[in-house]
Amino acid sequence: MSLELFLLLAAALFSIGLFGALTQQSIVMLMMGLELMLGGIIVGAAAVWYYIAPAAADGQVLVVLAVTVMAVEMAIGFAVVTALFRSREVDMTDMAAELKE
Amino acid sequence: MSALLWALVALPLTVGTLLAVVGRPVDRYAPTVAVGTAVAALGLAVAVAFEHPRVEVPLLEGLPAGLAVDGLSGLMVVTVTAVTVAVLLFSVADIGPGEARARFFGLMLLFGGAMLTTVTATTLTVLLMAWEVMGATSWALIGYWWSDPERGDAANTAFLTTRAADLGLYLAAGAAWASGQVGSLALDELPDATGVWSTVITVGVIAAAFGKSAQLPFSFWLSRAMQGPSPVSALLHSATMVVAGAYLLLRLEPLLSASGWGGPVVAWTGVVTAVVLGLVAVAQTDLKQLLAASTCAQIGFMVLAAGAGAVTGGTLQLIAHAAAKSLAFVVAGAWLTILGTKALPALRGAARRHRTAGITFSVAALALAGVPPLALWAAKDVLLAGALEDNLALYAVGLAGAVISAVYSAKALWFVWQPAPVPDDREEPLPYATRLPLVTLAVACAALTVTSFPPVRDAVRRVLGGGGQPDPRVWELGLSGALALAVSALVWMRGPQLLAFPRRFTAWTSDWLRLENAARTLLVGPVMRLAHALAAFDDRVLDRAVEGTARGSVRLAQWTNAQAERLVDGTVEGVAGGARALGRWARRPQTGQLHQYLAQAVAAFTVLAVVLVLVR
Repeated sequence: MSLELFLLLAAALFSIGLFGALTQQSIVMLMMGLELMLGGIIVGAAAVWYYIAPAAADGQVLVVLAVTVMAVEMAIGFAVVTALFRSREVDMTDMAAELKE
Repeated sequence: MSALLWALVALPLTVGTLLAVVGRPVDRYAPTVAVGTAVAALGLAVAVAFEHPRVEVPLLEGLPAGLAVDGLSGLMVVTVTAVTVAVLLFSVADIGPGEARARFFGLMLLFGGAMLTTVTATTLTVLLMAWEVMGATSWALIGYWWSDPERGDAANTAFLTTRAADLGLYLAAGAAWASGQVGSLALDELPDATGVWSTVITVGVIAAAFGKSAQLPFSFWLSRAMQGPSPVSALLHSATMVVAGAYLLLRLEPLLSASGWGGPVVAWTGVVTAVVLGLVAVAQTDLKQLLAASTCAQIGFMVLAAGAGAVTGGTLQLIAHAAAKSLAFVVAGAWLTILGTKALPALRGAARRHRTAGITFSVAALALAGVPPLALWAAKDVLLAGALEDNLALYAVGLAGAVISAVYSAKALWFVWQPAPVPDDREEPLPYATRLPLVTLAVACAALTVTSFPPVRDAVRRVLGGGGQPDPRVWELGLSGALALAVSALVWMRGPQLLAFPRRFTAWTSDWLRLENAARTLLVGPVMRLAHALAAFDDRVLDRAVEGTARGSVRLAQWTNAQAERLVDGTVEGVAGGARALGRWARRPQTGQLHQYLAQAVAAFTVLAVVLVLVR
């Protein structure tokens, strides 16, 4: 186990997430791509803290902050998607081109 | 002193303008005001005649306006004002209270004032102004009873004829100005012009003078001018208008003699007019027409005097004729008013019924006939002496003219003294206002004789400043007096029946030589035809060309609109449409969908990669 492996994992996760965010038309899948990108960032940040500066608690705080941000963002995103779907049966980005009532 | 001269000119002009402009409301006071003004002007005229003042005010750049009284002007202003007073006094009775008196008296004063300005003007500029005012007022006076179209027509004829001749004066003024040798257009300097300018000036002056003075070939307008009221004729024929031309020639006698040919031309025209218009007068059967023709003839003598250089004789003739002719016209006017006719046969017995009028008319007629001892007899001899010195033929023809004047005067006398066909010896006294001028003028006709004999003649000559003019010899005076007496007596005894000319000749002369018809055929007709032709040309060619151009322009515009505009419009629309379509195409990939952008980027990069691979 070493830092490079973890950074490799983080980059892979980020790349897969980016690909998903760029290619998926389904809003749920797109958000899963965003989830994977943030996951990659979290893994990278945690690995860097663990291997480079384990003494300082700053890294941990940063990781916890990122996880919190991710959870809040996802909650809001899914709330919007659910609302959209309920009102106009929209589940694709193409169909949500116009966000008017 | 110069104030008196200004007053002399300004008084009649101002009062006349005021009266004529205000018109009807002041009709009641017009005669009093006018006669008062005329009397005041007479006083002023006598004053300036002795003082010889000279005034000058700036008018235009290099053209001052000058008035001056010298010998000739002095005699003229006194003559003009005296005759004006007499005629206005008669007008008080003749133009009755019912007429537009203010207009009449105002215009008469204006007329007299214009003549006063004419005879006192020292420069052509002022002379032209006065000349024009005189012509315009003569038109208004001849057409005084404007509601009668015939009278208006007569006024137009008179005005157009004189006006056409007046252009000569403009020509002369223009030539004098253009020559540069006559600095301020002063009348005294006109003879200084040289070469062709001098010729043009002389021609213009002679033409204008002949037109105003009704010399041949312009005589016919005087016949038409008889349509005006009698006082107008009395003033126009004696001391204003027609003598203005004679005055101008007398004044510019140096110019005529300087030109060399001007003198003879003027002299012969004058003497021929005297003879021919005398014959016209003999043929007339209407008293006023007879007197009008006689005016032409008598003015002919003045013109002859100017041409022959006998300025003294011409001036004396002018003054004596003014008295005699105004008197004759006043009496004719009085008879016209009382008897309602001016035809000679109908006037038989007129002199017996109105003794004052009859006797004074006889004085005037005998004066015109040249019977001694009345004024015109001697005055005519003074000027004929000048003609005799020039050449014998001129003198002989002039003497013939004098004899003819005796014929027509005696003819007029014979008619008015004949017993009336219906005896009617009621003595109808003329109004006092008429009698006063009659008697005064008759006395003047006799009294003016002394001016033609020494010492007064020499004094007049000195005043006029013309030296070296021959005096009439005793045999000349005797010959002309005897001829006039003999011819008058012959006509008086035998009656006008002895004047049995061939019918065609009589018809021709009684119609004033058909000069008016000649003028109509030779000038008016062609001018009108030319005008019509030009109007037709204007309508058919110029107008049509303009219209055609406009219509063509409109058509071209419509065609352009239809064809070219559609092309241009289409091109613009096409470009715009193309741009719009391209824009729509360009908007197509801009969907806002991230995954589609990615797909596009992938495709583009793939193409790029393929190109790179293939090209390298």
